[in-house]
Amino acid sequence: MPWTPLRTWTDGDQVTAAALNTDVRDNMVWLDNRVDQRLFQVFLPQAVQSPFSPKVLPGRRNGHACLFFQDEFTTYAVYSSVLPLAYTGSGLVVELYWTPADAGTGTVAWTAEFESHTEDVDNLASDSFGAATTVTDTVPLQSGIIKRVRFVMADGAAIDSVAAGESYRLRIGRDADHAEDDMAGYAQLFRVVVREG
Amino acid sequence: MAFTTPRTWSATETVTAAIMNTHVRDNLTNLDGRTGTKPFLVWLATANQPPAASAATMAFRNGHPVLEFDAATAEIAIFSGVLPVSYSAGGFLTTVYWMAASATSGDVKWNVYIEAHTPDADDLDSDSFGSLNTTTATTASAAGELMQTNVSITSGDGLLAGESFRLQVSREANHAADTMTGDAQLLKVVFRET
Repeated sequence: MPWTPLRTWTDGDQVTAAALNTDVRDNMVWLDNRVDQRLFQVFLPQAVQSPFSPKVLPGRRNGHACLFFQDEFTTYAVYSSVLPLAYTGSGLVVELYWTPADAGTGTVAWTAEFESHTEDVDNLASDSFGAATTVTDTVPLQSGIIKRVRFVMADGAAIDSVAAGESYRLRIGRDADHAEDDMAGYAQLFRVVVREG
Repeated sequence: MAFTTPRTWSATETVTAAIMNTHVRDNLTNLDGRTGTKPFLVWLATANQPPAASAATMAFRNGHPVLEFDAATAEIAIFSGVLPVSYSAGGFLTTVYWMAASATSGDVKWNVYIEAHTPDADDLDSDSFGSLNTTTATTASAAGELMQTNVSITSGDGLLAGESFRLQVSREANHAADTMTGDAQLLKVVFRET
């Protein structure tokens, strides 16, 4: 339901169930849904960090910047940021927006890994990504139609224990060697979203 | 306290203190505590808009883009943004995410300056950074380990919500308090409301 402008109560008002449901209950539900969207980071293809091997290939599709993931071997894209202080420890959701380069059938196996940079502990001279989470997704009805694949990752080890205010990297991969990854051709990645679960 | 699914009220029911406290007071308190709309801007090293002189040097460390600040000469990085309209005049804090290129001891003096771009007032043909904000921090115990150094912004150049601004970060390497040998590598900068 939409937000209702707050009622100004007056002496002698009859507090009805309808008024309480509209002005109190519904507005609270609206706020509850809205505050959960405060942690919301969007990574575009231009934000990918190279060099990284084996890395994805940058490209375009009808003017849309995208990253090309191979079907013959596993390729990665790495993004870097700081987790906002608004994070309250409910885990993170990572969403990928992708489409196949060519028409076809099959499934793509996507992976997501976090690497937290804990102050005075983690050494950036070597990589320290946590365990990979894998999600498979089938091709859309038509090449060019965007699909959204979602990783739901619990707080703690699944996100390498990245904490609010900490620097982190997120590595997105196409696990081309995965038994279920059988889509021929490139997978094109357009957006990556990180938000609180 | 946790958020309780708001009560659906029915006609003629008695509104008790317990109901009002659980469904109105406690839920509003919960929502107030979870409203995290304070500005939180993140810049990576790649967002640097280098000045014409004394610019920090772009480099990579194990694939991480970094800006290198010299140990002998003061060098500068500049980041640009717009302060979100959610800013509620709570003051600012800058956090510098950095590491030593090789040192395992010593201090680095980080300076931060804000330049507000007040509409129809500030002329971008010349720099107009405000006064100095500074913190001296000790490096991590191993080169390559990250430090998060907070610089309290006591001089924000009058920056207002919705205004364009620049943030200048520099290492005052020729200051007596800056004792770390070798480069300091800047990975990220956060600018947020306190």
